Amino acid sequence: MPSIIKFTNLLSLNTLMKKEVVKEITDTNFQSRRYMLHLSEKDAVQIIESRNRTLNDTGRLELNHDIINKIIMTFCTSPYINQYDYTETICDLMAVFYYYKNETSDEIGDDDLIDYMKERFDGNCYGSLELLVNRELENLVVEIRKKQRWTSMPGDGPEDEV
Amino acid sequence: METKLVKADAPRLDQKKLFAQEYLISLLNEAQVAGLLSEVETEDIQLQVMDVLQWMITRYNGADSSSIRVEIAERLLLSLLYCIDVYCQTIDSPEECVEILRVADMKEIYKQGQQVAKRYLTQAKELYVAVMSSRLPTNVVGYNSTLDESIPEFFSSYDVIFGTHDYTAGIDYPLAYDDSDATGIKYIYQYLFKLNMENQFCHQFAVKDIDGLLESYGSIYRIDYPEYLFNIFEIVLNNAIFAVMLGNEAQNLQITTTDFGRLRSTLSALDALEVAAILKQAAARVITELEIEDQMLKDYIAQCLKELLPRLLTAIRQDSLQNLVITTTVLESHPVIKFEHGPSMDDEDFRQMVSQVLQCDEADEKASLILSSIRSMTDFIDVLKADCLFNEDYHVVFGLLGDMELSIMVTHLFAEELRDGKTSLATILTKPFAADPDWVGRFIDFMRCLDSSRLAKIEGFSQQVE
Repeated sequence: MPSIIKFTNLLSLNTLMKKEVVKEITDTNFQSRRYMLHLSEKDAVQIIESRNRTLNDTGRLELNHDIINKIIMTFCTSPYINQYDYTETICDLMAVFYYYKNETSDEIGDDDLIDYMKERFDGNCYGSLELLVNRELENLVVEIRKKQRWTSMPGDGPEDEV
Repeated sequence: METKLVKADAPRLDQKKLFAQEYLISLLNEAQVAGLLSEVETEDIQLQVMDVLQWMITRYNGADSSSIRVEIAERLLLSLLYCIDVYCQTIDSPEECVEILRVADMKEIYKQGQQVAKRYLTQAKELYVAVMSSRLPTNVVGYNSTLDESIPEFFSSYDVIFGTHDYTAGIDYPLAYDDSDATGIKYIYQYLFKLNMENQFCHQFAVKDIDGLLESYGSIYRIDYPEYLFNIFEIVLNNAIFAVMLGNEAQNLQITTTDFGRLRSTLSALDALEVAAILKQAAARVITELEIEDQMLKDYIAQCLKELLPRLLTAIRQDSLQNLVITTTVLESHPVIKFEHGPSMDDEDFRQMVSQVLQCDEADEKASLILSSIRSMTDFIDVLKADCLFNEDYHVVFGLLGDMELSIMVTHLFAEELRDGKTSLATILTKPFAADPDWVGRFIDFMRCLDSSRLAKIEGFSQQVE
């Protein structure tokens, strides 16, 4: 049966209306310029397209674009990000973010995960995405899964802080 | 929500293209085709649905996450659309529903649909209580496991908010007439509603009569019936209808082999229209005799009749009515008459018995009398030779014999043919035989009606008979 309803293919909804989102992204320059960071319209389009691809690759649906701005506003203060690799790093951080939302089975909220990533990225990862992914975020996954196992067993489990 | 009136000359939607399982989607499609909705209006409705989906995702995630796995999003979307469908199906006409969709807030419509779904859930739980109190005392496994396991499991796992459309319940027991268009909680609701009606109907009959009927059903189909999935109400209803066709009371589910013969003769002489008429009259009489007042049950019976009629016509055409009309006498595999070694009946006793048999009108009566008197094969054959049995009587009387007894008869009649062991009983029976004496021809006719597995068993026994 032919359907005019476009939302039957949900992943296609990941395609944001670029025009207004581009403006919202470039508006972050008001904050980020104090850190000598700036995104052009072309950079904004690249970030949006990267976000769409990542969502499709990770099998996730997002009907708004909150995460883009959250990641930009959080990480633009990092001492380890410079103008040279600003756009690319934002794209990589978004990819890492969505990937680990899956790996943690959505047990950790958006803000908590972004804060965790920022804290570790600026802290004992010294700006290394490899260390952030291969060590810190993997540890996070292990902790969350351990907690899940405990909470699925009868009786009290350890109250580890993540 | 206010709506404008649907104009009298407004185009009508093609109802055949509105699908219960995708009601909103098919409605929007047809509304656009009919010009009741513009492309912009349709787009707006879709965008609103997406907003509601976003809202549901936020509720599901507890506002912690803006993204969600697409499988979960799909489930939420199905639940959302189901609620909208359920609400839309409460609107009298599809055209009026389109008018509502045009102007209303989709989130409001979703919430209204949620309320409808919750009402169905509440009513379904009440129906389950009613079904449990009206449940039939039967050993049919599918029936009991559905009531004791499948339905409770459904209620405990059903998520009316995020899984409104789900209805995986592992329901094994089939209804006589199921609504294949219903989904989600509406399916469970209609299932329990109909099951309760079926139970109420069956309670009009004695438990032992239903048990006997099901035993016979198992016997005819050579199945261990408690393990099989079939609908009890359908079998009871059908036999009640056939009982009435025979001029018996509706509550008399027992149909003898003789009765079956009469019914078969009557129905095979009728054309399709006449069969339909007689079926309808019989069903009406069942409803009257059982004093059924509930209109929903009457409608349900009428729906079941629509299913029964083509099966009945096919059975008449293919001379397989015995698969539809459950006879409750005789075709048992365990013996009723057992031939015993010993002296034959006294001549005077034998003459008296034959005289009494001749005075009986019904084959069953004759068979009962013979059953109570005969012990040896010699006496049995003497009865057959005594010209006290006619037509259907032979079939009924031979039906009293167990496999061992039949094998003794076979050995007696076909000793020559079976001696060399090269010809099977089934092959022997395909050959033409002289019709004299009459009882031999009748016996051969009876044997020809047995299935191959029973013939093989009888032949096996005959090889042991000296």
